[in-house]
Amino acid sequence: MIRRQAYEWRNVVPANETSNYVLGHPIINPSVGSRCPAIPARVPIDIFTGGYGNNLDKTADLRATQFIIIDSIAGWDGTKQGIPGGGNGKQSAFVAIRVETTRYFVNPDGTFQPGLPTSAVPFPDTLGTASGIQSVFTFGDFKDGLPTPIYILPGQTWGIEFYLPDGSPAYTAENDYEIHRAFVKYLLLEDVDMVIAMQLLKDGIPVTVENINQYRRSLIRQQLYLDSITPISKGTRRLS
Amino acid sequence: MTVRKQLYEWTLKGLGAFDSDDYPKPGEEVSIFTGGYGNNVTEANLIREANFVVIHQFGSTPGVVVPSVAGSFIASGIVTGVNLTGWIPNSFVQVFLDTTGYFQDPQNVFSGGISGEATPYPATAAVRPDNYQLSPPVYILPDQTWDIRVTFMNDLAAFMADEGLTTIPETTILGQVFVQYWLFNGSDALIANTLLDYGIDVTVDNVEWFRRQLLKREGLDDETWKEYLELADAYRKMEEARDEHLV
Repeated sequence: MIRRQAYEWRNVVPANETSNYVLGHPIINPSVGSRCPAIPARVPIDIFTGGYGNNLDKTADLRATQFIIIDSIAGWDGTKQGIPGGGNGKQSAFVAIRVETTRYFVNPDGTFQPGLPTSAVPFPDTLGTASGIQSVFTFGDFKDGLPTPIYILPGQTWGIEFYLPDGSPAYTAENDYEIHRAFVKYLLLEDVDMVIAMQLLKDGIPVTVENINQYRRSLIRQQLYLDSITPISKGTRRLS
Repeated sequence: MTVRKQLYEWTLKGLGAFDSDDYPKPGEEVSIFTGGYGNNVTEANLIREANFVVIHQFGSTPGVVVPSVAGSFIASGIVTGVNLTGWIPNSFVQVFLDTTGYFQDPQNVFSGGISGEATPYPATAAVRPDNYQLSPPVYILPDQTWDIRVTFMNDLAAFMADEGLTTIPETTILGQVFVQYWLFNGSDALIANTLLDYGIDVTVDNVEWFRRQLLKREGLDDETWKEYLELADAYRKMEEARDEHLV
């Protein structure tokens, strides 16, 4: 089975929540408000289990029958303006992919790089209708997602990291553009499709929906061919 | 024998004097077809024997925070007197096939689905629908049931009580969900099932192409592997032609 999945992270919890995170997306009473916990500067935050906003119970790891193709990541720097330590309405956050202990994006010298700037891959694409909020749209090269999708193999763990160079103070969000966010879109291949994906990988063929379907068609064709050349038993039929 | 593009729009509006039982609870998963809120149909969506459905896009009301201006919901136009005149539901949409939810979390457990931020409906200049497309689409086979369920995460009842509001006018739209799908009927549904068996994408183009192949053969035996080889070869050539055209 091939399913198109997505996960959205928002650094927001109910204002009366004492912790900086909740499991799953929180129920919010707008009268009480939405609190955006403070984010430390220059610390990559795992959007699944990093301890901010909506989180999961455990890290994202693949079962033996699963294969993931991450083909798009995006994010939003929502640091509020007009408060001490606040933002300037521009995008200055980064989103990155981690597979096991390895970060995907590196500098040319091999050192740590925070990832894709949210000014290139905003989530959502936003026309700045409020004063001082920048209009940001997805950069052309990322319109169709990551130019080279990232494969996560069975048994591997993976994560998406959100990085703010200047950090962000805690505040109450009064508008959507004041929420830090990250978004990841991926294809989840399971069971037979996972086996085909691994075979394609072994053969050096890009793992795409089209190639998986094509491989499946070739298997069907091969099976039909084998069925047609299998000799029919000509022995004496025993009737007990 | 038809291929029809279908759509369904669900709208939850105000009903006048506020009664919390008239609206979904926060965090509650509600069917847009038979959930008992907003506009509904009379029975669950069972795909009949002669039908085949391909769901290829959906959307819901975007937004997370109910906007305020310096803490005032009157200034932001959400509240007028004792009336709720605007609302952001903070919605998530999940697709169901029989008893199985399509979307799951990276930790392999059920999730609420895709937010209205990723699939905004209606899409506006301020929020654009670029972030999530249901690709590959979801196939619903004959005798399966399907459902679209929406979950609102902003607490309407608590907000009404805390702000001292008593009425939601009928002009106030609290949330919307939209779904688009292809409905293949009769022989087109049979062709869709055959394409699925052959591992070929079920699209309108491919169904029409397959029908042309059947007409060309005019009653020749369809069960032999030679037939399939010819088909597969023809499909490959068509794909190549498409690719060339796209390039």
